[in-house]
Amino acid sequence: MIENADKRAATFRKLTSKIGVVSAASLQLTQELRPNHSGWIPPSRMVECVCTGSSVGGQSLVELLLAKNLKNGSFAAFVDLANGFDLDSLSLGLEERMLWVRCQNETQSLKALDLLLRDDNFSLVVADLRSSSKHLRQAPARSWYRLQRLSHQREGYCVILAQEHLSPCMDLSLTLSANHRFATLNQGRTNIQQTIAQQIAEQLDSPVTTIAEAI
Amino acid sequence: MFLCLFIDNFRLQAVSRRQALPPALPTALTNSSGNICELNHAAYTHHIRVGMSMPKAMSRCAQLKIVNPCLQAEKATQRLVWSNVWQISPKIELTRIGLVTVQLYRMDFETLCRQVEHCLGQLRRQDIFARAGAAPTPDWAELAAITAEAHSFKLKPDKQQMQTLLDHTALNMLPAMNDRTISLLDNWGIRSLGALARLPRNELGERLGTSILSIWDLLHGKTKRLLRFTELEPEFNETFPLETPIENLDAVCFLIRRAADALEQQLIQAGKVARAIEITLNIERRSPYRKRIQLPETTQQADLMERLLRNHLEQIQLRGAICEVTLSLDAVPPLGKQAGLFQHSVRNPWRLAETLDQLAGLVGEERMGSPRPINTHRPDSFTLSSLPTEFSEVDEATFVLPRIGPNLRRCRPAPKAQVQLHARGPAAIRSSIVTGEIQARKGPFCINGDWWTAMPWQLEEWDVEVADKGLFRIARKGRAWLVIGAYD
Repeated sequence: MIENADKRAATFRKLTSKIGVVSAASLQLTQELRPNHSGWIPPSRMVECVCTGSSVGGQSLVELLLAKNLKNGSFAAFVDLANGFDLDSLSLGLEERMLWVRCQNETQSLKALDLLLRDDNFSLVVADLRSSSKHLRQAPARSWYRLQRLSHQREGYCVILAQEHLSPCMDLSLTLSANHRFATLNQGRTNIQQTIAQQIAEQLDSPVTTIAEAI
Repeated sequence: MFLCLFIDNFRLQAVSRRQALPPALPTALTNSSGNICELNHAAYTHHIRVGMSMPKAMSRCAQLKIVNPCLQAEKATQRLVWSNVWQISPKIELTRIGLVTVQLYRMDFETLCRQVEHCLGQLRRQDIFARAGAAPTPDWAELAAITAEAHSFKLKPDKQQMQTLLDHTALNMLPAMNDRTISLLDNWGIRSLGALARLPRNELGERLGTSILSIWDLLHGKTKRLLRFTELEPEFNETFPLETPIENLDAVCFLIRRAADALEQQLIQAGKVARAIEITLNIERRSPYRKRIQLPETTQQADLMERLLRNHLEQIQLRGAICEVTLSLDAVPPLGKQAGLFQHSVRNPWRLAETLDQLAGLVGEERMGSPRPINTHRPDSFTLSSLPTEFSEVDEATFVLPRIGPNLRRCRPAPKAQVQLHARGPAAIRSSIVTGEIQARKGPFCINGDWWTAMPWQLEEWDVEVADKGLFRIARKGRAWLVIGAYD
């Protein structure tokens, strides 16, 4: 038994002399800091999207996410604390596989998120928590960490729309800050979504932004 | 080869199971004259015996639980035993109360042992304690079952092994032997069935009469009676009336589990699957609570049904103690269906059903679901329906319709606003949502409807750009201005 351990130790020493020692922690950090070149929100992560105004494209981002999810053929869940989802302006058919949960308070919305993230049937979970950032910031950190762990354990997407940065345990924080202009009313939905996707891609591709948010 | 299942104190066990009485509680069953006719082991240890009067029995054990025979409980238990035995062989005879005889065909002993052990285990889970025996004739099988150790199986495959068993079996173990014959044989020095079987037949008949000849033939395996097979129609409901009402969820779940196990056996026996499950909880001095749950997938498994019901019961609050639990199934033949190559279905329908049930308990059933438009022009009209569990291939052409402008994020309820007009249009706005000068506007879009009813509606909508705030939709309803939402 001891001989085997010695042999293993010797092999390890040989290997480290050739390739150098890299700790497991630093490997993890490298992965976190690596910029996301796919240009889209990564799965298995808790992503926060801070919408600095009322008219910056948060709801259009939700539609974009729903459209992408529909192609996968799985369910999407929308936790709506603000109760602002408008079916009339949604592209027809996107509601087919969408579950709309209209929460009445912050506790309900966090619990609903917890339940939905535990269910693999929902490959996309979006929460619009923009109506009550102050109370949510006061929520215990363990609630957010639990949600983060659940997001890591699943394959799907988890996006939280907020008015301001909610918790330090978000894996990635994006910002939508450009207000819609009057001309946008006459623009096609696809063009608007492309603009938002571009904004997100710019933030994801920028190593500085990603490193800063990951830290 | 024949198999016998013997259930000692069958009527008492049936009542105890129905009332969920613990086996450790001293329990006795009384007959019509008020005397003890059956008792469990716990009562026996308190020196209570069959034939005692109730006061005498109570004087020996104050905790003694006295129960009356219940025909419904007996029928339910018999059905349960029948369904369990049916999985071994469908040729079943209900010989008498507490005794079931099964005819076996081409079965190897290893398989038989495994199946009987499984059957006894299943019954034990339902608080029915049976013993089993198998032998070449039905009467030998009955003897083997009666003489088997508690909750076990005694297999006597040939005549030689049966002879050994008879040598170790007392005379009174045979139900056909009367006390007079036993005492007479005892005087002769015959104390086991094996010794009786070794006596010469004719001489025995000359001395004890013809009745002993049938016993002698039975012991030699010479009588092979024909079994009268019974078919019981499955009943997909189980009821547990409770003498002491319960308030604890775990206790209810225990009964649900027991009922689900029994129903599972019924489903297997009938070759059906459950499509929906209905639970009825009779509450003291209140109207009963009834809930029908459509199962996400047809199933026979008790585990899944119990989990779904437990999950549902965790979400509700009852206003009294429960005095009866009834579980019934909507059983249907299994549907043979092949999914299309590109057809998507839910990954885990049971998990989905649980999540939806938990969410309904959290936010309320009316506040969650899949939104569907209603056939009206009235803005913000929708209904929430349940999520579909199966859907066909995605056809992008059907859902991606060209839309103009960004999505709307509604304010519910729409807050009132003070709007300053200029040139017949809004020029500035002041509200809890947005305040500022209106830089650009589009409208009015006049919409109305339901004018043919008693509740007509009419709106004048405007799309406006507020300086440094973005795009909003406002509307005039009568004389009041409302902020409908933001273009987000």
